[in-house]
Amino acid sequence: MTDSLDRRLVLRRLGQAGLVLGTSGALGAVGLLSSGRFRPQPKARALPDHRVALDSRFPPLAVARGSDPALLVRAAIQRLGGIQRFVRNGESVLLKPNMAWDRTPEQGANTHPAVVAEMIRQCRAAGARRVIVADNPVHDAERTSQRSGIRQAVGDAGGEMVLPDQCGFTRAALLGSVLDSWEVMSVVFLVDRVINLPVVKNHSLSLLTCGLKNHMGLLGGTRARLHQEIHASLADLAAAFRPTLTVVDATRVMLRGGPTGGRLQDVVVRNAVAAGTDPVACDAWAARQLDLDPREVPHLLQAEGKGLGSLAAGMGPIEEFHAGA
Amino acid sequence: MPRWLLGLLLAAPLVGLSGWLVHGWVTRSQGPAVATGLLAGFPVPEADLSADKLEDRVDGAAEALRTQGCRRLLYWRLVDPPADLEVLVFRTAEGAGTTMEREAGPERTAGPGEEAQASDQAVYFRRGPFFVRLLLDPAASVSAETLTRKAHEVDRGLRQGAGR
Repeated sequence: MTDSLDRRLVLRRLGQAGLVLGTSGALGAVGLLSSGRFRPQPKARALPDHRVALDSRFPPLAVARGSDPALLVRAAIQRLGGIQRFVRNGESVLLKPNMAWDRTPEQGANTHPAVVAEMIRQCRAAGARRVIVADNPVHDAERTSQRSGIRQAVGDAGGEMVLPDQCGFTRAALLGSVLDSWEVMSVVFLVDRVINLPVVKNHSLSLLTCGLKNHMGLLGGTRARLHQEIHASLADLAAAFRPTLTVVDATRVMLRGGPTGGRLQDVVVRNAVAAGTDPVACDAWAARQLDLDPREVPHLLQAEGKGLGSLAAGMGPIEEFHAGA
Repeated sequence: MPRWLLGLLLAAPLVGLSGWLVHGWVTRSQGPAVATGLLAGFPVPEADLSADKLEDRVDGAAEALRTQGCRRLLYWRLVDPPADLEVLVFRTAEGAGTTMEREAGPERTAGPGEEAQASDQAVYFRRGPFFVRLLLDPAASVSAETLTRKAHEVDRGLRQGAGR
């Protein structure tokens, strides 16, 4: 036995080691490639624009107050020209409530089921072929749909509930300043109209969650990544998702502890519903329900800066009318 | 080249890998095994989330919690009384206190822990670096005393469990 090795032996040993590493690397590569993780991404699809033409005879925002949520929805939409302006006979409609949380209606974390039910009935009355209610909840989807009361409301009113595992996701081109493309619930691409049905809440990160934030519920993937640049992300989503109509549920408003909430003492009963074709105006009005100055909510300012709507339309004197007895 | 040197060079990656594995085992403190014993007398939580997974339960509030040093969140769905129970574990009592202040406001009531805010439907309290939220189902016909009793049981569980 010698204390040193000659060059040839060293090279042979290194060659053997390289062979072992190379073989295992090749096997690993085959495994990864066959798992599909490195398959080329399908081309991102552009999101459809679901808006209807503006009509100067009607205001961009209407607000109804009263104790019956169904009456409020009907009255606010009537003030905008009626549901026939937004949904036509034979069309399919997607309703997007906030149904993210395993909470009951009294806790004000989700859109009230009575608002969702009335919206389904309105669309049905306009002749809608299908009325689909969809969201990608943060909490367990099935439990959330039940405890929120929305599953029951959808069944009773003649709608269809679609959860993410039923429709899957499609890569959508968002083409925003921070969001280039993202997985979006495929149902968005299948419908003629989209009606956004957010609830007004405090949000510890974005200050306000209403219509613009509600679009996040249609996304898949690691949504938490959006929180790193939340305001710019929300403005990007607002530019990509162009709903037909926004109907804001302010029957109950979560003033603190949002978005999850849970304490009744953080929720006030406001008995109001706003409907609008200007999503920025709708959110500006919603901010005021939280005693926030809309101009201090960065994503609203950014959305207005992108030409997506008017803060002033939701801040100025708005004719509010009483609906019901 | 001496044979021992060659051996050392070839073994270096293996030593590095072993060190990495040992380090992971030593610093495994956020594993579920510890969480199970956090609250004595309670079953395994339905959700046990480390700091980087808070979004699975609180979504938009996660960043604010992490800023205050929240390092885990445990969730139980209780049947008797029907309620949601969350225990948030912070690095310091100050972090837990600041979060309680932000979420519950400055008012304090009698209740469990070192500070509490209790109502008929919810009990928030802090015990050291633990911030607890106990939320009764709004439709539940349960007295405030029952809810407070459960909150005290949670507090006892924290003191007797791994959270003491």
